[in-house]
Amino acid sequence: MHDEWTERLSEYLDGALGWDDQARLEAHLDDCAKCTATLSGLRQVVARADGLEDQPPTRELWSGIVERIEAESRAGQSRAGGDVVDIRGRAGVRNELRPWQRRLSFSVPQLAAAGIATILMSAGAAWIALSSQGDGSELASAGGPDAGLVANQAPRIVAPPSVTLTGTDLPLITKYETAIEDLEEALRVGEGNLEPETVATLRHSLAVIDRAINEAREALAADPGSAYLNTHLANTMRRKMDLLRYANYFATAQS
Amino acid sequence: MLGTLALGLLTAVAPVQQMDTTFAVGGSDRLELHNMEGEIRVTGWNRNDVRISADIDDEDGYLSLNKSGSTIKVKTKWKYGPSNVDFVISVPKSMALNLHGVSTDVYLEDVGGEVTVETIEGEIGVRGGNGRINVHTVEGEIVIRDARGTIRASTAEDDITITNAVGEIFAETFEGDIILDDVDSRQVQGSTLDGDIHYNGTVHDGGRYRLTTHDGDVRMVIPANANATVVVASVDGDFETDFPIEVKDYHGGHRLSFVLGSGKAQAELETFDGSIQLVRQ
Repeated sequence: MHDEWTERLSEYLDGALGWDDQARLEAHLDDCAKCTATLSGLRQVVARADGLEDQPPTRELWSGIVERIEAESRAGQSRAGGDVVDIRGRAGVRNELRPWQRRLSFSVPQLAAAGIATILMSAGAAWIALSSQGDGSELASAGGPDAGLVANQAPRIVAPPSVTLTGTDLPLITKYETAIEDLEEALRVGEGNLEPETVATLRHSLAVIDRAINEAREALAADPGSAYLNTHLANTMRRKMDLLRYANYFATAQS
Repeated sequence: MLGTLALGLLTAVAPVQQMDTTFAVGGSDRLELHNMEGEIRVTGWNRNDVRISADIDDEDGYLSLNKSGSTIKVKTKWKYGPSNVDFVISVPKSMALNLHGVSTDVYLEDVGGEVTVETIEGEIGVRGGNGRINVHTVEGEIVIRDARGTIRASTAEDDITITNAVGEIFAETFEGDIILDDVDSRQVQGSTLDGDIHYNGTVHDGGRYRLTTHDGDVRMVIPANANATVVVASVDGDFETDFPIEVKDYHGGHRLSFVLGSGKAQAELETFDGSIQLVRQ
């Protein structure tokens, strides 16, 4: 968690570091085997992720999209004029939408599930603007210059994935698992040097991470081709590894 | 100037010892302080002096002050084991601070230099800071306001709140919310596992904004004229927006992307289980 370069490796891979930082990181890589190994693992993930094809939508989700849009439509038609949709937020964070800015709300899997969602999302926006403003001439000023202008766009259906991965197939995840086992063992040995309250906090945080990892694994088992889930699982495991490193660092420092 | 100075505290009968010293410092001097247990309060002032006041809750404890190069080092020392020490310190506003603790709360006010704070059990509050601002704890809340520079904040089990900040922000917690309000930044990374993330701030062309949680909501409030390519990902959650959007692409069953304006910034909003909101300011 504390190695400033570890968290900038992905920027380095993306070519997003400035010249100075890039030079400093490369100098750091010469001396840091862990960062070098992590960078190698990241490169493998990127290479594998680039080889992934997105999966086509499942037909079952389409009915959900239609139902929700129709429900929005019925609700909108039953209301006279525009209403304010209140999204409760934190103090200091603006939390009201303008009357003409009706909220579009769909589940991401639903939206992502059908290429035709492109059309319906736009049609929904158009309908909302029209129904609240009365006529199409006000649409641009109400919904922005592009609102409702994409109804003719064709849906994009991608090919089935040519590669199927499971989370545990990823070399990086295997490395993480090995590293996590080692770090957990080290923490078991060294945690006596930490205050009991600190150990309890760490254990609690590790339980939170383990729960997230298990949920990600379960989702990945159901959708093994998902690049998002693979990345999410890898990132969550990396965070567990970082926390364990951090805990071991302090356990060692206190000894 | 300080040389090596051990301040053995002489009040043998009092349960709490007190020390108070003031000394002049140079413009490039830094302060490094280690306090195992207690509190550290630092306030910036318009003098080229450092004043250190400490209440030591142990008659066998003392402070070690020495100067090495441009670094003034203060450490708490114990004969038998650590006890509570509460520091109240005044420093030149531009002085760089490097503060470490274990069971230690740290509060900084009106500071204007680089800041590093590391503690294990303790909350951290920073008002000000300029340049590299690194604050890390394991169990404790982090609150930062009016900071300018590159902010890195992490805690394992509590919230992180950063307000009125200018510069890159990297905020990470495992169980807690991340609130980024009134932020002007070209790069933001907010990550939690069990908690919400709120961002209210600018979106610069070429900027990168990544807000991720596992179990929680993500809410991003940005200017109506923002130019961003937005990627939204969720396994089991809703996406809401008041922007007129055109879904450009979808990836697998869980991600979709669209473009606002010229799309010159990158925004990634992810939650495994929670809702995502993209809202106009």
